[in-house]
Amino acid sequence: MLSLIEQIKRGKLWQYFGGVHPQQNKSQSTSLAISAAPIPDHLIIPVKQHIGVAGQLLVAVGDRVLKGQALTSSNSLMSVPVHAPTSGVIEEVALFPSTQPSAAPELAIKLVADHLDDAIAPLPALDYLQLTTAQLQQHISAAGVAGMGGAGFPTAVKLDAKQTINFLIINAAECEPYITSDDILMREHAMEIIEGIKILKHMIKPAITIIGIEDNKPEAAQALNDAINTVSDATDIIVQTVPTKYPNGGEKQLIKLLTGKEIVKGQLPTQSGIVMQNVGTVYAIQQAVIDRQPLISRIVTLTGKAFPQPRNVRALIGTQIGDLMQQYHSNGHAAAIIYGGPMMGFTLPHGQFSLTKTGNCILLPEQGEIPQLREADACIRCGECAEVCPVDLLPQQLHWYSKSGDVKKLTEYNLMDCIECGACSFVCPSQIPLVHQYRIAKVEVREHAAEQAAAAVAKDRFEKRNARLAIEKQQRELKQQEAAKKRRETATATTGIDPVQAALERINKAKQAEQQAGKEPTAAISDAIARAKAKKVAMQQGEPDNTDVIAQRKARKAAALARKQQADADDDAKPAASTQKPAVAAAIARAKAKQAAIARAKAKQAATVVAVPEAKTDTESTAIAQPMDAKKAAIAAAIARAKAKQAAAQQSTSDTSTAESGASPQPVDAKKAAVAAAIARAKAKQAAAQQGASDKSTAESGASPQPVDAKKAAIAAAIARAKAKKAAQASTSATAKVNITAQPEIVTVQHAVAKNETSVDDKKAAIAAAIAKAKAKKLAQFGDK
Amino acid sequence: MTTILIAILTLVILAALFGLGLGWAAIRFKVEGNPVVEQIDAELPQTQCGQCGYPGCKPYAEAVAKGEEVNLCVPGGTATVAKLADIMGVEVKPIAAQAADADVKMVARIIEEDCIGCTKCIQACPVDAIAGATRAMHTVIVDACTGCKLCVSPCPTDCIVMEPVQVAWKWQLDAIPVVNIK
Repeated sequence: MLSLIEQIKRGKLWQYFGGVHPQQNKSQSTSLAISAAPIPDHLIIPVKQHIGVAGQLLVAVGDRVLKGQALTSSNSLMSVPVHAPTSGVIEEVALFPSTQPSAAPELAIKLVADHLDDAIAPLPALDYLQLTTAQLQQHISAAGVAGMGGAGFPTAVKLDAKQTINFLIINAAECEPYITSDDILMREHAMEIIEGIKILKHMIKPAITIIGIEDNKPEAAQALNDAINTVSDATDIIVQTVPTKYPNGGEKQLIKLLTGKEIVKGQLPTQSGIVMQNVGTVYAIQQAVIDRQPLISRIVTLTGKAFPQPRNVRALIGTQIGDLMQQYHSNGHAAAIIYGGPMMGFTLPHGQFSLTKTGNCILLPEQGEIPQLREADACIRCGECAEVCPVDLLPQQLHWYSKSGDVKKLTEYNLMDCIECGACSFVCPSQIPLVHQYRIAKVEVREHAAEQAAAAVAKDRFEKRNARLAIEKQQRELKQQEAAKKRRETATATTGIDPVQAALERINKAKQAEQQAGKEPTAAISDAIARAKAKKVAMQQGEPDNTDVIAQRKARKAAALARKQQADADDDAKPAASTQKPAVAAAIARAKAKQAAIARAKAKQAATVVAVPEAKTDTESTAIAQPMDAKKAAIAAAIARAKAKQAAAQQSTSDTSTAESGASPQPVDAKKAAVAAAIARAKAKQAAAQQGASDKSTAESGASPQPVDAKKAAIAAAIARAKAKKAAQASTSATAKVNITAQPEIVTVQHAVAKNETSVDDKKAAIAAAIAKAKAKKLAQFGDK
Repeated sequence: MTTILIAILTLVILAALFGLGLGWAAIRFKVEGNPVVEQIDAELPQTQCGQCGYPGCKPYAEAVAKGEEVNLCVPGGTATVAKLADIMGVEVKPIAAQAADADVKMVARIIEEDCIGCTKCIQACPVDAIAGATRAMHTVIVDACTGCKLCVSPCPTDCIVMEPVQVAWKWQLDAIPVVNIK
């Protein structure tokens, strides 16, 4: 059993399934030697001519560039620079139609040639044997070499020394009809090609090097063999002649043909230890390394009956197709301008497209020269297409699924492995443009895949966000619990009364009172709730949380409502159970009174820490209960006023129980607060005025009386209220000794605050007021907008 | 007599063995959750837009699995309805909501000079596709935006607009003359 390499050396060939034998039409263009196309007046050089990333522009409009000067730079091997094909001036850097079936606009450099063809200073040839693979990769990349077979893959990337390469295959098959650019290149530049192969061998050190060439190019094969014998150290290069069949030149097809290996779906040949380079690319590598010429021109076949003399020319990259047609006298009877060969090329609408590094052929067929598209017939299910598909696909199935857009089935039938060689369309007796359908379907499959990927990302982000929100919520709750705990501890430390205990006591008292009165249904309900709460609190004795506070608030709210009805609650007086008020309210009031008494007795400062915030909460809830915005605003204003007054009161320590706050001639801080309150009030009044509920828009403050709609004003008022509340809480938690007469009645709020006997940090209050002011102003401005 | 006893005994032993095997398999290969939910969720577009009335695609998938209508997903369009109907074995229905623009994929864009940095849109975005901070200009991460429009209404300055996504070039049917086959 011979090893694989032995077998290859003995000339063994393998077979791949499928393939077609279209008419060659190659001989027309091989009769003449390569001639250099005249330098056109202007060139349009696309910045990106290969798969990968476009380079960075190095030139600006108006710059004079020399032949071979780099126009873009690259910072990675996946990005390949372009060079000036001749000397001239950059006229424009703009979007030009790309030489692609889409003609999608693409950034390109327009160079006006000066026909002097001044080149940059020549560089000495590199002694590649002394250079490492990485250095050579850089040189090859800097010379702008990208795959010239068709796809335009950056050549240097393939030549990595990291992978073990067993097979270096030079693709000289050139299987597509009409095209002879590689054929003629091999005939004329065989020595350079062999030199290029030696550079590649030095770089990737393959076990065996094979040139795969179709048997319809005997002259080229002979030239290569001669060169191998002439050039030193080249005798191990094998020229393998393969029987002509389309598409031998396909990468995977040629690999199978020459080595019997099949590339696993989704893998690159390098993963199987195979590197394939097009013969044109090898020549470009030699030019880059030995002659130090960047890739600025390429051999292009001008063929088809519309050219009086089909031939191969060396044209500059960026030459307009139309210029080439004119220079070589196309007769104007062309049925189409085909860029590429008849099988895989595409039709250009006109000649204003640039020749790129991958353009090997311009085919101008006359009417009737190549099979014309006629109206396609229905698929007759002959199965011819499946017989010729070189990738073993089922074109007929794909045809159905492409038509119905069944992405799932198309994926199942491996549409994406289609190499678009056109063999199926070629043999189709119904002339169905199968490849065209596949191209459209491929986009659909790609889009579907992209959509799926996007959906997966969205799902992931959504889930992660939800998880994050859950964690945040948990942390917030934890914080609140801790804060509540701290509050309780502080309260216990300052007043000597555990608020939870106090609450329990109150509830118990309420229960007793209820038992005494025992007839009020609402009281019974609140009693039940209180009992439940008490139980809960008792259970949670170890770890107090908000529930006790909530319980207190609820109870107090009920009490407040009741008291409001009563309207004449005397807090210091002992409420009798015999009155019509709910017993609970009475009980709570009693409890508070007692608490206050104890506190007062203990020190001069007696308070329930939560008194003021609770009062606020109650006020708020009352306000919310009001349907009218005007009233809300009024309440907000009232609170703001109260706050201002508080500040004023603390400054003067006088009993300003009913005085208007804004007028008080207090030091700066107090005044600020007063102004803030006034502004808030003004806003509220404005709102009220707008609603027609009140006409007292006196606006005695600095606030300009612009027409702000009621809602905005209400919002402003709400914010002011919130701020005021915050300020109140701040002051309370600082020292606040609030008399229990601070009952949650709107009217008594002022009263209660005014009665504040102890000094509260007035600065804090002032700051809070200032913030409130700022907020109100901002919102007012915003409302105007 | 012995024969019949042997037969019964054999069957009893076999039954016990199979029972044990099945019992083990039931524990070992237990399927967590409802696999249908996953199946439905996979068909939903994952825009998390809430237009179905559920707070996200997964909740809607769960609801569908429990018998909710299959035609509530607006961004998914008719194709999704068909797929869900297929999974659930129900009739395909026309999409419930007005879905005139459902075919065009949209993304949000913040008109940056109008943005006041209120963070309201950030809170509304179900996929965290808006970057920004308080009083700093916000912007939409286009790649992450699902086009659910949830950020549009919370914006106090109406500075968020929905724009169609730039689609990549497609092979156009009319680029190369192609005729329909009969």
